[in-house]
Amino acid sequence: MSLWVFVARRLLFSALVLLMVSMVVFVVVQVLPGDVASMILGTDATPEDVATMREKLGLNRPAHVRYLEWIAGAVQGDWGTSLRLNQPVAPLIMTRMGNSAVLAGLTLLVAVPLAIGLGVYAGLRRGRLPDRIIALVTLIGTSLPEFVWGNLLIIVFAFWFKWLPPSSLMDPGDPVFAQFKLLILPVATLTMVMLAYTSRMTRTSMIEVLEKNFIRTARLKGIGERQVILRHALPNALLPTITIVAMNIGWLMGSLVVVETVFSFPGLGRMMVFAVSNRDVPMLQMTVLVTAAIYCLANLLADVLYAYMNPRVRY
Amino acid sequence: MNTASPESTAASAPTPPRMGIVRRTFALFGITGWRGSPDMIVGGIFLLVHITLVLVGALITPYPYTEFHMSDTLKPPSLQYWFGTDHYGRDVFSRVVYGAHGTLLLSAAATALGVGLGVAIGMTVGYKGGRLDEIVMRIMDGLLSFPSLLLAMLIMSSLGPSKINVVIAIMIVFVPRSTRVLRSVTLGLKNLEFVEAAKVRGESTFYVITRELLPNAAGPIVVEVAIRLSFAILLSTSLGFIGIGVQPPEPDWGLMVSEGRQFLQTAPWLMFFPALAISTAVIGANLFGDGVGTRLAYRGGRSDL
Amino acid sequence: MSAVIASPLPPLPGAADTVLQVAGLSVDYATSRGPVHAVRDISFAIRRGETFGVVGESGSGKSTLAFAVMGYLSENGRVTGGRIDYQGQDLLAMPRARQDELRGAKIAMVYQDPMSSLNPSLQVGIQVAEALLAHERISREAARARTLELFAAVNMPEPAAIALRYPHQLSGGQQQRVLIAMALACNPDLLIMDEPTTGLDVTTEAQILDLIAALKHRFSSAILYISHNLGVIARVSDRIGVMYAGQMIEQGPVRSVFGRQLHPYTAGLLECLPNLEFGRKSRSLRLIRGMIPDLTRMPPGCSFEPRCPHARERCGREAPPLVEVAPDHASRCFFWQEQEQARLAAGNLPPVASQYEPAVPAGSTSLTLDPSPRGRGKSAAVSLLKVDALTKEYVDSNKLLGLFGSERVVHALDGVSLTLEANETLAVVGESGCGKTTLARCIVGLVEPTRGTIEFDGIPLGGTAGERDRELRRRLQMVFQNPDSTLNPRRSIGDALMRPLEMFRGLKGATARDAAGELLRAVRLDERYLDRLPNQLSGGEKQRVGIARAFATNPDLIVCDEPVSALDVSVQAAILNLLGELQARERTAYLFISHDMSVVRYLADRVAVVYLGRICEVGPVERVFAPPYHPYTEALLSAVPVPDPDAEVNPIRLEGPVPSAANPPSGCVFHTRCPRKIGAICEQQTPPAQTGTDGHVIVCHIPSPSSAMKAGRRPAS
Ligand code: SF4
Ligand code: SF4
Repeated sequence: MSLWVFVARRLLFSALVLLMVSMVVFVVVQVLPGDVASMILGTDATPEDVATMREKLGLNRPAHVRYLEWIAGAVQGDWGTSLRLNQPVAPLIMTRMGNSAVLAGLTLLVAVPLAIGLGVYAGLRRGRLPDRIIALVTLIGTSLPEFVWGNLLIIVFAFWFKWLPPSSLMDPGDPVFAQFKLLILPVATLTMVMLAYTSRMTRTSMIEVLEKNFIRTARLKGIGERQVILRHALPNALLPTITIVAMNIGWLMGSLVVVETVFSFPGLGRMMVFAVSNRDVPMLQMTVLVTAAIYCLANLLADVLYAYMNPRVRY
Repeated sequence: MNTASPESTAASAPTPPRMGIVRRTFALFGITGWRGSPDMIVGGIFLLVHITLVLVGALITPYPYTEFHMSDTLKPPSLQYWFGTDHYGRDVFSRVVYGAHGTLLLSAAATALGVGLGVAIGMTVGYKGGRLDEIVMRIMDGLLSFPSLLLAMLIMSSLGPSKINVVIAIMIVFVPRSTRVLRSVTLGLKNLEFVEAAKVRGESTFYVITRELLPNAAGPIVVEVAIRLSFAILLSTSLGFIGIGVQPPEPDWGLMVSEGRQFLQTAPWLMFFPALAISTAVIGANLFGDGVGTRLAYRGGRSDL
Repeated sequence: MSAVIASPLPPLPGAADTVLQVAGLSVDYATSRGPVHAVRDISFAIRRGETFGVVGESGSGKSTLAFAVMGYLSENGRVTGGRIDYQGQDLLAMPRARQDELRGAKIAMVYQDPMSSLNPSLQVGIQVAEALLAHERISREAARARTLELFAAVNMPEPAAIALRYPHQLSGGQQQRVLIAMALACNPDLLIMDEPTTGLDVTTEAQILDLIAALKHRFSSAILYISHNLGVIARVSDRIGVMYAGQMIEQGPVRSVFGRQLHPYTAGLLECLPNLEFGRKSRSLRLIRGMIPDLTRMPPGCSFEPRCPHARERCGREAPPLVEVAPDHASRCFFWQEQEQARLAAGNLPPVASQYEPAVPAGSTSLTLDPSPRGRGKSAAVSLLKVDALTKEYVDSNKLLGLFGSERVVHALDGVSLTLEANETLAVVGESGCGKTTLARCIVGLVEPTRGTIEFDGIPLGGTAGERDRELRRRLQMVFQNPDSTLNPRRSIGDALMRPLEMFRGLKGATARDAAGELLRAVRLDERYLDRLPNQLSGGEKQRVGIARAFATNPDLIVCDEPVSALDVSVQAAILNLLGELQARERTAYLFISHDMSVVRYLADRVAVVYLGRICEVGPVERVFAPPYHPYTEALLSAVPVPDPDAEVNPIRLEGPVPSAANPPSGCVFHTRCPRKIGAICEQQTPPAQTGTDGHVIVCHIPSPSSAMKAGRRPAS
């Protein structure tokens, strides 16, 4: 089977997954709570208010009709109107998503090469001092939640040294790169977390490969350790890191929510917190759907890349 | 290493090794030849301290965690207030200790439920295979397409903020992940000959899963529980921190960090001690899980994030 | 402990062309239980163009020896004494850089398990060229050209195409050829081969051995050949060393060692080996009692003493030195003369009763604890097992929602018909992937056949085991292949045995425990094993428990799926004898799945030869192992390496790859590889089943030479 058929199959699969995701989102947000209108309005709403809200959200129609309408709208670009902001959701999400993408992109740019480098190095020095140090650092990295890292960095770099601003407050519409300084601390926080997970997994993958028989073959071929690592160990060890990075992107999306809250950064994550705290149903369901779609896409790309790079894959 | 190793040298008359209580406990989880892995010991100690806090918390706290000392607001750590006081003059030490009760019990409950269901579902579909496996795993794929924290937030938004709902949300996040791990463990076991021998005998699915497979999956399950516990602590405190998890005035560690942020510059201890508590608990769980994993030489199904 | 044996063999005559000289080599591994003395005081030399074979069972230290010479011990391994000289230079004292220069160029190695020894993500051509580029000053083009030459030299079809492939696209035999080509790349002076054919099918093994023999003439390297297989060693070696518990216990020219067997262990090994000549009805295999000693706690005397039939007081006290017993032939035994005399006195017909192990203990009870009569299948009309036109197809689909992707139907079994009578052993023999295991699994109900019927004592067997009657399950049991997974590692031996006793015979508590103890005794294990866990048992012992578990239900038929293939020869012999003995006592029938012609010859009453999911020959064992053969059977037999250095090498070889079971060839499925193919008819028509004497059936177009053979009416399959 050719790569294209594989891609087509994988695309179809992703579409199915997204369909399921949308159902989950819809069920959780609109069906599970029972009466969405009273949930939104809280306990002291009058029956009239509730009725108006029901009307506004179209809750009087059966769930499956609402679901289909929602999906149809989502596909056509009609993403609904925010209840609190009284604005169409789509442009809101788009700007915020752009901002978050900058954060995430910078993080990946910094963290992934660094993490792979550290992981590979630790794997090569397995059990020796560098490995132990990296292990300790990454352990602490994974064990401190993002909000702790963020606050620590704020204390150190904003309050002690006064180098960087403690928050990244800015107008959501502003170009994010305009104030580059605002991005440093959030990116640093995200990097700490990303780095830890990715490098630990890369180390494991490296060690697994180094234990393989073909590494012995290469060594006993007398081609020198450098060649053994570069030609034989690394390509095989780095293949799984594709999947590892994709998996970490999921975690990164969660981290974004927390980090954007810590730094008051106007991104998608904080918008989601806003939507949840304010019970802004149309905004919430679209935000979640969009993030899940991005994650799906990342996984799709990773799988295709993996298949493309790996001669062994039976599509 | 990948070089010549001594081929198995069968002892002439193997005698069962005598085991102490510790080793026997570990042997229960499939960790034999236990020889103090430093990871496991350090991690175990961290966890033990926290468990002790949970158990005896009420006995060692000097003040009720809700008691206001309006004359003593924002006091730095001292002999009177070990971890200082907050803006209401509440004793931070008491609050952190009570927080152990809250955060840890909640995380443990979510882990137990999530991994428990994951074990049950993963082993069943892994063993049974076929249609059932196909359908269940596609549903799990759907759930796995949500980043962990986002799924938890989504569920919280629908259920409303409360302790119980945090448990439910984290449980739902864990189920597909644990299911996937345990399914792959089961796939590795189910074609082994002793399982086939049971099939040839005509044993029921329930018997095969509980008596033949489960004991052999004990090691991976311990690893999974430890890693999930660390994630549960991270998730629940993160939910608390962004304000949609446990609500004030509950002494949740994440919530405490969030509340302390207003005084980050003037009273950093408000943030520091709960953060320390979170970190040590997570480090403990991580180290313990790693240690057990290394002992088992188990690297299968890296626990999904 | 090796003080007695200070001197190695006297220096070889003509030492000038000695490529490798190992003197007094000892290797220890540091383990938690103390040092394991894996190699102890080994000395030998190999000359240019000569092959030195090292043979031993697992744990004998032979692989350690090979890797010690390569300078590649694991981190806990350490050379504790002796020298390894390569062309007069001490390898152990050599600086690392110089070692790297030699390794891969002048000293090269061929490994066991070729698949894992090749880099999965690099084309094999590149992997070979790499060795050239590392050691010789040549251009990439020249290296490429040389690689193709090397591939041609190892009989690779289409070298240019192969060079571009990845390891997973090659067959096991081709992968091993790649490794051999890689080792030969720089014309090595010393070639180390560590079990290079282990794990390959016998016909592939024969090809690789032919290749090695041919290359020996061409490349004149010195070869250190490690193997557990006495037949292979006999075929490739000029001189051999027999290893036991880390020591060379006998070494010398291959004919001399095989011919005179001047150490009791050598003799024991050869005598416990089944061969193509005899079955158990004519004589049983000899056994070597006991197990190899714990290498951390070696006894002070002869290391073979606990197991030696000639041992006496002195042997336990004093370690025997390696003494020269004939020119260039040494034995590590005080009483080698007696050993030789004993062997000569026994002549070529050793007694049926084994001198190594007591016969069935007197008064041992039958396993039949419940008196239920075994009246089944006695009426001649009904066979115990009747398999008719059994077909198993696997659908290998990677379709998603019925879109995209392909679907292939793999025919694991295609119209197999067999019968098996009570108390009879029917062996099903064939190479890997031929469907023999699928057949076994269909019968015991682990997989459901696609078409065809299985009747057990006249009762149709349906579906999976879980759907069958309890009584049927009781009567039909299975013994598995892998000793390490046949028992649940978390459950005691007692649990493993008591479960079937409880399920099928209603025994509980103390009664069940007694019965389990009884079963253990029947398979010659101590009752104390009841409380042990499987990891406290050796491989052979675990296999015995597996057999006891099958017999626990008092079955009529036991399907044995390669029960001895993972065992060392001395253990294998014991298990084979045990199976024979239990069958005689319990009147059980066996369906015995195997790839090993010698084992089949020894144990079977009747044999079915399977190729690509179809039976090509079936009949009484004496008929199948004698002409007229089916061409495939003939090829299988001629491929078996015989443990006799003087044995003629039968030249019949199978060419080409085994066709895919998803797309089997037309006509006779064997026609793509058949050395005796008679023409187009083989490609076009399904061959007829020709029935000869004693129900001997050959499925082939070749007219039977015997007048008794007459073409059957019904087409096979
Ligand atoms: S020295 Fe004694 S124990 Fe050792 S092989 Fe010779 S006879 Fe047997
Ligand atoms: S039928 Fe033809 S191809 Fe098949 S085995 Fe006989 S001779 Fe060979």
